[in-house]
Amino acid sequence: MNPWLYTLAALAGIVGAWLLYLAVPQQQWLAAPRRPARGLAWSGAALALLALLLLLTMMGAMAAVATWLSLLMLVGTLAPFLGAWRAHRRRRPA
Amino acid sequence: MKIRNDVIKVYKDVHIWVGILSGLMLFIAFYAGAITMFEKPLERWATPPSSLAAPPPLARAEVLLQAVLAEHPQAAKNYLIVVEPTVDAPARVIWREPGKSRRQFTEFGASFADDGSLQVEKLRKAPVAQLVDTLHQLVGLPFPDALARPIMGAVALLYAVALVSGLIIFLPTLAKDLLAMRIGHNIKRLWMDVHNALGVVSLPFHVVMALTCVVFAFHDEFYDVQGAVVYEQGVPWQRETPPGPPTPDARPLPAVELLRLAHAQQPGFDVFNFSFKQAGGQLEASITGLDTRYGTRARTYASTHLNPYTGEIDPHDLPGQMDPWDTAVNTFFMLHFGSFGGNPVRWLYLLLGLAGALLFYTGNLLWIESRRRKQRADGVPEQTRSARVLGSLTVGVSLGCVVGISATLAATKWLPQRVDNLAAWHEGIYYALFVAAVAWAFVRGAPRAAVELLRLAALLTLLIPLSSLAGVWGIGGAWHHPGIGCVIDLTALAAVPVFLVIAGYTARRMRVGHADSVWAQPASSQPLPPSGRGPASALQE
Repeated sequence: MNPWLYTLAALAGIVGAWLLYLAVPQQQWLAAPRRPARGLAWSGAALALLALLLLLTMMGAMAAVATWLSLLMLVGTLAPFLGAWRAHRRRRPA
Repeated sequence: MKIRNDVIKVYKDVHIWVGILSGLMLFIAFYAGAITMFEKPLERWATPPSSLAAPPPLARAEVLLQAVLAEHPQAAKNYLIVVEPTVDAPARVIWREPGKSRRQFTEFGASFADDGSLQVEKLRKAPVAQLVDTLHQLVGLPFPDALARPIMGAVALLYAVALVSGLIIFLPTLAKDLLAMRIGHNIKRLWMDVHNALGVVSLPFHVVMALTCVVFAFHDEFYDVQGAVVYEQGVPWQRETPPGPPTPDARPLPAVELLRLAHAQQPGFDVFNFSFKQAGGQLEASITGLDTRYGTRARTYASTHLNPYTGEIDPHDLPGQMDPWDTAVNTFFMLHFGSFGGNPVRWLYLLLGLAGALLFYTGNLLWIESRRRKQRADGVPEQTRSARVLGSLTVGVSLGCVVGISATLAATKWLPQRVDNLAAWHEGIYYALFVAAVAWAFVRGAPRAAVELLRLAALLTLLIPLSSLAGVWGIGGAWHHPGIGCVIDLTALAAVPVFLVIAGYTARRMRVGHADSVWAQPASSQPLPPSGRGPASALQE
């Protein structure tokens, strides 16, 4: 596997999943939700799809899909905690 | 999505009770399973250094083999030529001698000493990584496999039921609660959000784990039923056509040539070793290695037949080249083991596994919080016995597992010089700490025990890299392997502040959190303000 392409796929997947989190109304990373959220969702979906396509060029189909899903699931699991942590810091008096 | 309230209530009850029954065992399975993602590096870190001289080059493997066969002719029955010797396979030529049962064997390795004489050593793979894997496979139960495995299967079925019921409960509030994390005074809401955040997005991971565990636990029974119902004449296993017998003057190809041919036939397949055995007066061979572009049925390698006389590889057992049925079976294994994509995917699985362990932990916290007897005007009520018991059990079992694994890992580099039965000692240390932690949680109560056990976990985890440091300085017979071993030490070192921070938050919650909670400091040791919350909390307000 090409490590550069692998890294690029990972970055695309992480940023894509993060943009998808920012598109959700419950996100807390940004103080005010970015409007329209649809742009974030489409950008996130496009980057996530790019990550999948890159992985498919390097790996077997099942391994590529499983790697991609694992990455999206982990970012999606961590995102609310990071968002809540940032919101907590914002609320704290300076 | 609208679902009737009475339906939701039924699923909620189911979710709660299957969660309570299986949650703590699943915590152990996930925590140990997360560590097992790096079983091979852990095994290498834990294996004492070999006393053999450095392996001769691969081109001299046949010379070494002839020297071994001259002194140990029994080695011809089953031996390996290792392409890249490692700490846990430190010799160029390794052979196996059978033990009492089919799965038992003793491994020997050979090398040439500086004076050219043959050196032979009984190989000592460290058993501690296997212990962690067994804890994972048998959900921490100290029973024989025949008893523990069906229990594990039942737990996996409960896990599947919990996933389905949990999803149904979540569906009506999906749009409102997805990825929400509301941190505030409503502790129940907080634990609910944490539980959902850990479980909803990673649902496909959990579904895969639950289904594969059921298959692993009951695969003998599945085959029995399949044999009785579908294949009354027996399962028509695909028989491999053995290569024709070699001509009388045929000689096996040298390992260097086998490796060259393997690379030509299977580019991307990283060869670990060639194994050979005598069968029916003929030499049979197989090739073992890994291609991270595909998932494998075994956790860390794939293996297939090889003609030792021509170097031709039979690819039908290699991932990516299997038939559709074998691919389907292979998929089950690879999705459970995370045996694809190399170390990045192993890290992803490790983190998802730890998140899974927290999912079960938070499920119990949510149950306790839901049953909290709230403070009224006449004072702080005593919490229910069931909440106190579950609190102690949750803390004792979860942190007992963490403490036990850290302790047995910390002992790894001190035991081989002092005791013979390493496996029994590692198991004894784990279960002694585990049982002691559960007992401690009941004696001290959940809040105090949680703080104390977390600090103990930090201390014992710190001892893991310290034992490697002792090895660097040659203290007490400990050792240190440069390279991959550092990852284990650094990971353990990174976990220490995490345990301490959680201990700090837990202690703070005990002092300043809700007084009307099983997590509050016992009333006898802390005067409480009338607000029902701890003094610091009252000050903050």
